[in-house]
Amino acid sequence: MDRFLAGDESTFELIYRKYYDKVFAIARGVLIDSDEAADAVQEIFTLVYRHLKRFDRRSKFSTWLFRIAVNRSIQEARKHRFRNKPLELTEAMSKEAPVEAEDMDPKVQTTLAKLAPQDRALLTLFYWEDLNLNEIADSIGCNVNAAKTRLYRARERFRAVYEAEQ
Amino acid sequence: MKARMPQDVERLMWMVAESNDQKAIQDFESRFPEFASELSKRRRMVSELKGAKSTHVPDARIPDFRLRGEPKVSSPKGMWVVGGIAFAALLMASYSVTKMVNTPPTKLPVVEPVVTKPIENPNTTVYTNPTPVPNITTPPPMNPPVNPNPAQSGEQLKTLKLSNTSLTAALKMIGEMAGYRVDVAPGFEDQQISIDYVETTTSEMLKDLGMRYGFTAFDQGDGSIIIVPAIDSGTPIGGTGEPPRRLGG
Repeated sequence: MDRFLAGDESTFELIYRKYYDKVFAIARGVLIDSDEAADAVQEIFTLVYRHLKRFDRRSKFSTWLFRIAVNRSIQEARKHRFRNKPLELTEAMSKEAPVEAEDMDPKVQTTLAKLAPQDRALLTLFYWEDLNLNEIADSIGCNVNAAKTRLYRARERFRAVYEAEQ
Repeated sequence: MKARMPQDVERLMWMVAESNDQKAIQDFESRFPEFASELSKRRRMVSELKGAKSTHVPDARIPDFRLRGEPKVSSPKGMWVVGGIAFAALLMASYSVTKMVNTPPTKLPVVEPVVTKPIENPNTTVYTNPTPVPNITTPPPMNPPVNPNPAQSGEQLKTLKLSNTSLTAALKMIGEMAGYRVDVAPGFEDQQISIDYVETTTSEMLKDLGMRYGFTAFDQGDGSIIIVPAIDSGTPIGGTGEPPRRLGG
């Protein structure tokens, strides 16, 4: 990253490859659809490329990156929320798997699809990225207590939908 | 009935379910055997949720990074500003429409009604029909006399000179000149006449002839004129005291 900030733009490819997995997981957790997630990842890294100089190093680079990933993914999810109808999800599940990732468990996918993008982001950061509450708080831009409360509520909402699906 | 779980137990159960530590699970189940099945459900749910994460993407399958144009990031502040402007515009439009609808129409200058007195023609002869008219409760619609004011109607002026011709033939000719069919009502007495009209309108000719030979021409409104013989004055119509239809002439 220092080399990139020093003007060596070719090093950005290393940053991209190092964090692609994690950013893709966040985007997929929020957007659910793999193709949309892959598209969002490109936009997220474009933002990072253009605004890396704004990174003030007060937090870890990954936290700063995840924050951008979460915000951008939620924005995309809001744009696409009317497209993600249950029927399309069912159809999408039966389609050929995308190149980037394997299909998500259908029940988990259906449950996540019924939650708000913010809830999906919290569950993704906690269960998929294994971030602790401090890191989650930094990533979603709130304090630790708020992050803890939001995570608890998101988990309860997930459980309610998940159990209703059975 | 399912026992309601205390909040601290609930929190503990989530921790145990998420840790997936066998010893912690056994401890929880021994302390809270009534929640053992609930713990099992949550462990399964957490396991499936964690397992839904996409597996590691091999480096070879990572698509190349392509720098895109600046993504449009709509800041919340910007959205509020745009929303505020839209709301203000809506308010203005609503105010304008309401004002426009509620404004009373501008007062037009009041024109004093002009009362015109009908000019009584002392020479007008009112005729009455010698044949009795049946009692009519509803007055029949009055047909307007043919062009009572020819000067305003824009009728064409015509010249007609006939000598020793039947009145009926003369009337039909006058009517045809103006594009009318002329029908003569029963009881009309035909006679030989001579006329000489120069630059006169059709209605004036009919009026003049009506005065001279005792009839009135009524425009039927369907392109025809009916010639009705005049009636004697003094005979009440149908005995009702109803005023007689005014006849031209």
